[in-house]
Amino acid sequence: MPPILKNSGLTSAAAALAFYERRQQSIANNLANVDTTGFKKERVFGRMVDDAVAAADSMTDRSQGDIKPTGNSLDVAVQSDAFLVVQTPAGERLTRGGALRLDEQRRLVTQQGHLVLGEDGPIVLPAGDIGIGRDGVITVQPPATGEGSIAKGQLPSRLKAAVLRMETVPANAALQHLGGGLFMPDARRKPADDTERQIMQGSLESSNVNSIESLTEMIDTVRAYADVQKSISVMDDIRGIAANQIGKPV
Amino acid sequence: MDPALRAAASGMRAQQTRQDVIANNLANVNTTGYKRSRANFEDLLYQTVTGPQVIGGPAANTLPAVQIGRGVRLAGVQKDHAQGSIETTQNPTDVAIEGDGFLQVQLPSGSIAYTRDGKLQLSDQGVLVTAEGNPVLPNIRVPAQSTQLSIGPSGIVSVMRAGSSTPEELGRIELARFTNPAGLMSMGQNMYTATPASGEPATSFPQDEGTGRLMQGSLEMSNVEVVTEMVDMITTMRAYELTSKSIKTSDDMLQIANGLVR
Repeated sequence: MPPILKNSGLTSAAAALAFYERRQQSIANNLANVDTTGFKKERVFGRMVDDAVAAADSMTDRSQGDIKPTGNSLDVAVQSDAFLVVQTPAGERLTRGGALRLDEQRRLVTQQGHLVLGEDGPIVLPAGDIGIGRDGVITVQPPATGEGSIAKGQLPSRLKAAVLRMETVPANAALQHLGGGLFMPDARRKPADDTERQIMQGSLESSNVNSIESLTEMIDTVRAYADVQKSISVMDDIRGIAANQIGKPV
Repeated sequence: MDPALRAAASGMRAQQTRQDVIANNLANVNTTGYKRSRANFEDLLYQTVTGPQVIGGPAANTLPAVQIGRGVRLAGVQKDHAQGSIETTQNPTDVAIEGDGFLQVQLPSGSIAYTRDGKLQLSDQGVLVTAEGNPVLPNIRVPAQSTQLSIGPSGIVSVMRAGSSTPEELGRIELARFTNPAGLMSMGQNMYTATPASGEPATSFPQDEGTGRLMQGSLEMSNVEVVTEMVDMITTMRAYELTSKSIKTSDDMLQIANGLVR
């Protein structure tokens, strides 16, 4: 016969409390990033360890966020599962695009100043009107030279400046968040094929956090937390009775 | 529990900053040459709670790392240098720039500032100055008793002298261009200064090699779109409300935890 007062009830209840706290932390982070461009929400779910203890696992939900048109020619959104590749001091990282800009050397960089990589390395754009095609080909319309040349209809033709490098990561790969909208590339990454090269110029991908869903999750979490707390109190009550009532001389 | 509270607080702070930026855009909806700003956000660093674990031996059963995010922060406030609409004023000293380029302005300190605000006027000496009284570079002096001030699309300033039948050329306005105008620093009064991020200014005459042209008797209006700002303001307020709810929930959970010990 197993001992009646085995500790596992309290231990697993305590583990459950820790699990729900972690879940609430992740929901709070999701909600804080409800307006962050290209943000992918984090899900925390429980996993059974041994016989009773719930441990927290998390994964990044890579579902597509809404595409919001901005009209800014350097705002870029990806409309498939693919990622853009950026060069950071720590190595290559993946990102879902965002508000890009040009630095003082006219190189294409992210908001944080990381170089956006093309098929041939960093992208330097000449002066002129920048167009980014759906397939990630960047073309530049050079300005007209000389006075009155626009009037004569002598616009020089568009230059193909660079091709954005795009990569995909298998759906079952665990993507590690790095903050700043960056992800750690998985070992199984590979160049995106043509059907996955879906770039939208002049748009930004909104955060994929659904506020109603997150609020519901939050209510769920706090109720479950209260339930577990109650079960700890009940277990404590039982022990109190066992210690103080059963052992009491009649 | 503390990290949840802090993540939520960072969210509220971010939305507040966004509201500040929107309010400033809306306040400048009628400011000549004003360019709208946009606040960009990014997620903060993630804390790896548990690293990747291998269960049962084979590598195929590796569990991913558990990561918890720590909130959001401001990545930057970006100026949108899109062209504003051109409004005709018929005032001969009003100049709008259609296309790329900034007017160069000499500050009292001797340094040079850049502006798109072409609400120019003449000083008591007849020098072409901005609305704040700072001379436009290169200096152009309009002599007394001259009429029909004309500023051509390519920047040539000319007048008719009394007693003469041909216009006299006084000088030519130059425009400065930057490789990355979004990197310019706003200094208020519609003026910008060059920064390492904007690159060095390259001056050229209007209408040359991609430089914009001047339009006399017109002004460039603010490029703020009221409807867009209003929609942004609504989403900002809702996001603020939402994150305040997660503070409340985290607080409720702390209270429940406190109830463990009676």
